[in-house]
Amino acid sequence: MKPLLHLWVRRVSELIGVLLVLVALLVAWLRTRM
Amino acid sequence: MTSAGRGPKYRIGAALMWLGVAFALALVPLGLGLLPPAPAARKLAVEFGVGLGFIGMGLMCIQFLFSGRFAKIVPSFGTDNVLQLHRQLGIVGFVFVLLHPVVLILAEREFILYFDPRVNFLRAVALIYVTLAITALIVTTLWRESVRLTYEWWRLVHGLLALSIVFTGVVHGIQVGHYLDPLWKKVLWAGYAVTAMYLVVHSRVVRPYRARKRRYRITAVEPQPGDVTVLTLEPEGHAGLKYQAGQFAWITLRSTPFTLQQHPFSFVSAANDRHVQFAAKALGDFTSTWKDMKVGNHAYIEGPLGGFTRDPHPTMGLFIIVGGIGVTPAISLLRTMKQERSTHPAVLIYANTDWDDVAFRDEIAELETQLTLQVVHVILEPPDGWTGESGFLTEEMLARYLPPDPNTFEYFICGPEPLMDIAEISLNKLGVDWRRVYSERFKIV
Repeated sequence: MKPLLHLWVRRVSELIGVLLVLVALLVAWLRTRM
Repeated sequence: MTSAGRGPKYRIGAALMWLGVAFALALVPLGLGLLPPAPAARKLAVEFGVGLGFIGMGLMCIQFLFSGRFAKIVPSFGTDNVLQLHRQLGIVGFVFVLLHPVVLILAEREFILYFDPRVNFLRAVALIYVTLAITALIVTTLWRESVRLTYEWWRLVHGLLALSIVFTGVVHGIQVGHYLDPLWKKVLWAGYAVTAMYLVVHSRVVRPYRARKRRYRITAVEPQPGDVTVLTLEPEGHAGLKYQAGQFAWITLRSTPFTLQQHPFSFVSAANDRHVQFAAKALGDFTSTWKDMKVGNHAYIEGPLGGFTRDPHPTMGLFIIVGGIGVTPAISLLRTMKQERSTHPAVLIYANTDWDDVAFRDEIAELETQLTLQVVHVILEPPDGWTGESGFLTEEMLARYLPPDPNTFEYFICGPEPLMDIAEISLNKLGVDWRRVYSERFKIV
């Protein structure tokens, strides 16, 4: 059982991770299109 | 201002701002690589793999921002959550760093030659080292006790591994040089990482060194029930330090085998006392030496730190849930209320295994008569004839002592993990605004 705020921190971290992967993909895609 | 009108200490706006700053800083290396003159694009998977590497480096560097003891970001998150964020974002960074070579090798098989010592011995050794080091960093942190690493050794190993990983990352980026070709890019790349690395050197070396110039003298060593020792310290030749009830400091005690080490402890003394007091239960190698301290021994304190504190002008009641030695910040909070002649209502729920092990129990009984304080002892294995609360802390138990309007109180939770989990979850279920619930977990690793 994990406390509430820690779960929240975990979700935020995962969200940041996913967003950063998307940024990496987007940048890679944009570069190949240029 | 009415008591209910005052906003909670944790602010979503400030937290989001700091997260935004972290996000932007993590993207700095990638942005630097993309600045013109950028090389011609290769295929998508290669570009993606390289991007992961740059972001991985950014994520590793921003860890130093969270891991250092930076007072500014703590009030909007709490120490506890900052450390938790460090832990979780560290795992994200680890994934990026590992995916970087995996994606590149999957995209183009020749990238495996980077790991081949026959092609370039130093490069291969460095990359194999980083792969192993970052794995070791994660394993020793998530499973510190399973790998039998003491806290002191873990702290040293963690810092050194992190520094060496970032250092190798800097050299790797410069050596590959594909995206960092002009010299100015290499300089900025190195500057970014060196700044991050300095943060850890600052908090581990510079600040403790400064603290060493301000010596404290032990003026009393007193036992408390439950194998707890209270040390009283007086500043020697300086004014001491200003702190708030509920904060903690890093302590170095001379005359122990741990002369070079720092350990975090909550203040027990009231905020306006000239002397400072700390209490420790003899649980580990370091805390077991406390009872052997002598009056006249010296100590060094670095702090104060932590956001486990009340509003500077409290208008709300205080609801404290603690277990075992987690009582120490509660004692400081209550002593400070007494010092300030506070008339705000306070509730202390204090869980222990045995009645005989209840530290500060006489003083708490006295405080109960001096403050508007209700004390509830929860004893796991109560003595015969015990009429108070017994067993483990439960939601039903908390509900019995919760004020009619729970959001006119601030909540402080400190103690063993299971107690903190149940307390946080129960308060939430009972309708307490999470922004008024402050918790302090020292046992992050």
